[in-house]
Amino acid sequence: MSFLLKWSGILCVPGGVLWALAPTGVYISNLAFHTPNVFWKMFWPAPLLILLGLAALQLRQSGRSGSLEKLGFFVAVVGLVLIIAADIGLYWFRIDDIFIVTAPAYNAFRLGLLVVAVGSILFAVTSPRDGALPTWGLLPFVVGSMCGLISFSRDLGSFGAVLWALFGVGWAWLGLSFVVDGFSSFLRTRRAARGGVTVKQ
Amino acid sequence: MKERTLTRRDFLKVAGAGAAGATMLGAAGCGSLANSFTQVPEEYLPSGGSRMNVILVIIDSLRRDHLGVYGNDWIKTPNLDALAKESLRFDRSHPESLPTILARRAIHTGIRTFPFRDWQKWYDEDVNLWGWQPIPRGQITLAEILLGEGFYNLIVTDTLHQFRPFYDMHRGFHAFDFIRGQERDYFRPQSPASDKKMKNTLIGGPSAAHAEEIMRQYWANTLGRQGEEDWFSPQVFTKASEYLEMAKDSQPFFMLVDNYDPHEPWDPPQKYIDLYSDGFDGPEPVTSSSGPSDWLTESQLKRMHARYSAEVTMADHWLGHFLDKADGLGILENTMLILLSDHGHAFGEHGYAGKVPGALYPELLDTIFFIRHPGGKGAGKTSDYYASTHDVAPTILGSMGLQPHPQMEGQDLSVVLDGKDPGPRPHFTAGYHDHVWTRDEKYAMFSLYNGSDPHLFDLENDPKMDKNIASSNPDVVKKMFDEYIIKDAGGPLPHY
Repeated sequence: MSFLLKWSGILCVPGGVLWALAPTGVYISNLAFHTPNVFWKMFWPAPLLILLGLAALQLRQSGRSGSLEKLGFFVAVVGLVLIIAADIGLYWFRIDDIFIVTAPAYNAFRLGLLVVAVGSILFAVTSPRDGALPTWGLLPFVVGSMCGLISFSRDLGSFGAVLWALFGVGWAWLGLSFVVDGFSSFLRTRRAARGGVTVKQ
Repeated sequence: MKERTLTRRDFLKVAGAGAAGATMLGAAGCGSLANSFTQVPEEYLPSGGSRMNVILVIIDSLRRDHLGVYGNDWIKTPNLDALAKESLRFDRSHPESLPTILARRAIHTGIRTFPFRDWQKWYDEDVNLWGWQPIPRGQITLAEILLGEGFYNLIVTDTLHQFRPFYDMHRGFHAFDFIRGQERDYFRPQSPASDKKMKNTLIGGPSAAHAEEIMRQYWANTLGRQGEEDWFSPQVFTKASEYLEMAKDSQPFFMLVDNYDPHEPWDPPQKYIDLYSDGFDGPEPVTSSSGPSDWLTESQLKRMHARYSAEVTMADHWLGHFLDKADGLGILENTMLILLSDHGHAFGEHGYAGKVPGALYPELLDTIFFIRHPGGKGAGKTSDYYASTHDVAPTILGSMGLQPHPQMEGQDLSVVLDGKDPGPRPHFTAGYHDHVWTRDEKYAMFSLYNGSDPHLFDLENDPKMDKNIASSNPDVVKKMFDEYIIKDAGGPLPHY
């Protein structure tokens, strides 16, 4: 169980990749079904995988995290939960009458996007101090999160689609760096154990 | 070997630079870089929120009893009848005040124009009717509210009274097109050719000079017309169709199509007149010269009525083109359409022709009111609620889940689409110049602003209001004046 928890950060990789592919998914959905909603109906696994991966990353550094980093984590979680709930509410349960301006599910979706971007930035900026996540993974992640914030703020057309994809790439990159770093750390530990040297973690 | 570590400060510097770079990319690159991403999908954000457009059609002077769907078996209004079947239809709609500008003030603002307090006539030559003035600056309009909600607002109209800049009825609209030349719109200089046409125009009656002034200008304005598309209703609905094509890329939009016909002068193409009249000798009665109708012969009244009916059918025909266009563009799938008239017109019924303030009978006060919801709500159903002009703005806002502006006094009729009841309205009141009108389930009553010269009618036994029973029912008259009119007016009525 602890092994699974320890390595669940890898879920950020498929989550991020799925997220990055969203503009293409919307395009294909429009082409095949004349509506983007078929894709959006299937979008919720992307934020869910990211959410699970993020939880694992947070567990990894929970003992060392500062209050700002914790805040970033919680804000990102709130954003992801909003997106998942809104996606299911909007496209599966159709709780929004499309003719109503208030559109609670749709607005929750858009709000969730902004919240997760802000949470991601905060999480990424404050995490290096803890040393649990590799810096080379966090740097592109913060840039990706900024791209996300811009693209979520307003519709920027093709340019926004690229920024949206970079947000997903940032998460995938973070997950990948976590795995690579963890694996190399694991190898170093094994090598050190064979050689009888204590490795500083 | 000493491990190289990144301090928090270093990280923040790098992250800040990256973030700033991304922001600059976002800010500066929107235009130039977007072009280089043309191979990338353009859509990436989830769809949703309000995408319901609103089309509001006002048809001036259209009597309720001149539509097939309201029981007329000889008028030809196939498009209005078809629209009614797809709509919620109000069977007891009345303007809260009339005529043209007063009704539009109420439609645009959701605020009652009656009882015409603080009326300011804006210039000497303006129409001399109580309450006839621009929308006061302190009153917010529906278009202005929708503007704030991100709607793209368009207006097409040939209703000339709105054209003077100080009337400012197009405030809040992004695009407007005034179809010039109706009635006495000062569109073209009068000419000898228009004098020639005056010879075939019947002028006379209680407002002969006014009618002559109107017709002289009208004939000048309409010289050189060739095909039917040059008439006013065709121009209005054709321009509105053009706007639709453009507006479909600017959704959500609010489009107001304000069509003056079948307002006099009744001058439709001959083929429409032939639907209702076999022929006529003598000058054509194209205006009614509002007042008693005894200056007109029976055949002149019949011909006048036929010409009016012909304009109703012409307006219906071109409305049909407009609706076909909206349907063809797929716009009706996410567009609410409200259609109403502002008042009617008399053709000798009760001894009057035109719009006479002292003759507030059904031919003048009974209007039409449809709401077509894109989701099919209320389709084919009817309501006997006293729907009115000042209900339009709250209804449009309410149907989208928006709160009506606190200034608005009308009811949100969109709740009727869901089978619910709007606020109670056990009676209704209206005003026209120096006269007031009221009704409830049993009676209709009208009088002068001070309650004198009352006319009372038993609607259950006399729905056409032919027999005045005021003298034998003074208590009913007093109750209706005090408890309905004075109460709704918020006190004694002003007079000018």
